[in-house]
Amino acid sequence: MRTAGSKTVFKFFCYFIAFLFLFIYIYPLFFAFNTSIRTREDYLRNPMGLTTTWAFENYSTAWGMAGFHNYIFNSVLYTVIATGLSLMLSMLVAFPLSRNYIPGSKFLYYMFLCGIFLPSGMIPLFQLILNLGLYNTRPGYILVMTGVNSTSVFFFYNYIKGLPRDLDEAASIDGCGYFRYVFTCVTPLILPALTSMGVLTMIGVWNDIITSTIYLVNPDLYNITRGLFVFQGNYAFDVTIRAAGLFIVAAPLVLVYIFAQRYIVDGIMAGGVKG
Amino acid sequence: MLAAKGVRKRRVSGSGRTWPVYIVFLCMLPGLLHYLMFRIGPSMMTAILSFTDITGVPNTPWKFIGLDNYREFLMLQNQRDLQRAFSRTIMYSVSVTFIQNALALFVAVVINNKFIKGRNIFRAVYFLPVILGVTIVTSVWKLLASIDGPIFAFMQQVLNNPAPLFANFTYAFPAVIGIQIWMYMGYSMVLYLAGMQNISLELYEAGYIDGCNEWKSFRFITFPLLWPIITVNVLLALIGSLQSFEIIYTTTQGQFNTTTLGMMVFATAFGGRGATAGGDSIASLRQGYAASMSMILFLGVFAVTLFSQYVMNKRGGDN
Repeated sequence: MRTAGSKTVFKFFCYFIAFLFLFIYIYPLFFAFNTSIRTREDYLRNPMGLTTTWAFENYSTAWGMAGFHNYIFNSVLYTVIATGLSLMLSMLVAFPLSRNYIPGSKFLYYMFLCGIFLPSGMIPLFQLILNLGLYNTRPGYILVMTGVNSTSVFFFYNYIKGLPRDLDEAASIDGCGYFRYVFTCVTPLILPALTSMGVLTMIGVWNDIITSTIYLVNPDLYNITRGLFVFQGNYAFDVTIRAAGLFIVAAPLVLVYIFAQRYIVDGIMAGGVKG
Repeated sequence: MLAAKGVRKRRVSGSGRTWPVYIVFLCMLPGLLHYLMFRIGPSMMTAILSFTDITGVPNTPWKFIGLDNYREFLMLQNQRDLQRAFSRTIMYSVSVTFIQNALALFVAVVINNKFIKGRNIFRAVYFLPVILGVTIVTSVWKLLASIDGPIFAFMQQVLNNPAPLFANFTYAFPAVIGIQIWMYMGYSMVLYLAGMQNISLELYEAGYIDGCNEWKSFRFITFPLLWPIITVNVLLALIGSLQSFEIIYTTTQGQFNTTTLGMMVFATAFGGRGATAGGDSIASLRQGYAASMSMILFLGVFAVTLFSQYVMNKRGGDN
């Protein structure tokens, strides 16, 4: 049997591991942040030391040099439209499937489930967008990013199963139209699920780099991560400015993460464990 | 009787009467069409395009060329190149899957201990890179690897290899693997932590009474009960890492011995440095050829998934 001593050693070991990993995760981010508030001279004097300056002007310099205002405008536009559309379409698909309101609901449900396993079809999708004349346009990019996400459909499907069916009947007898019912009655009831999937979709769209590389050539249309990527390449030797640029892009994500952590974890678990 | 049947038919099925089917279906249609056009359709069409010589250049004629793409990729192409891309893909995928899951499980077990305070903070920090996304994560690591940065100093003094990390023929590939693991360890860990919440504490108490130490209670309680989640996690990591090339693209663009099959498909189809295993680019965007590569990759992923699922289910039965 264990003794008090071995218990203490075990506790110490566990905390040691937890803090070791904390360090592994914090240090790179801390180094980047530390660098972002140093002047060039201060950085070159001792690249690995703590900052002795508070050069927050790096942020405005990076903002100006990269033209982040344009990228942020694009990213907000893409994220809001793609996420909104994606949630709306997924919900309108998931609701009747979950209620079995459509002939062949089961078949359609499995068809949507397939999306989780099927490969992405990048090349035919590109040909499709090219032939629709949507290559290098905002609508084209948004259409590709929208994605009636299988995970969302699946998540909503299960969530809606938990809502009483009597509600539908009561509403329809009272003359509430279908569209209105879904958006005024179902939406508030599945709000936690909507938030989870909404936040995850938003983060996915905001962070996209591959799709924007494929479909957007005009720098005026770049989203923020693509903008950051190009900026990093152009100013490879301006380490402090690069670091500041990085945190400009990371800040909104960190804010969302702080406020929506619970929903993110819920969404991940729904997508990962069951899907 | 018949009339009643007709009425019922026009209404959606169920105990009570609700909305007409056509309205419900009409509202569903945009989502369904989008899914068919932009998800399922393209996914299936990859197979067809793999038999053509279609390119990414608009308004150029294309035709079916049978199995030529496959023949070229598997037979005619420089064999050493192909072997290198294949073995690199396997190395990438296997090391990511194993290390990521082993670390995630270990860390999850450690911070799931009752006495750990601030578990949510640990969890939140480990998960942060997933939220920050590939571009920011690789930017951070590129910053660490920049001239005079900590990684650069380490490589110069300890490894005696002064080439920058992401332009280094020896260390770029392990670095890319490391970043992938660093980035997604938290993701797997969250799934393990969630799975461990469902294991009844009574089991651990019973184990304690029977004299289980920490290792034994992990080996005989946590591990077998977590096996379904381990299976899911391993499969997710395997499928993800076999196809993933985002981190490679944002760090080395496939140069410096880092090209995997996924990267080759992307670079061949859309232009870039990773179109061959050596890190060269192909001038014309040969998308038909890339489609054939992507089909081979898909078949590989499919086979690996089935095989590992079989093995893991069998293993689970033994436990």
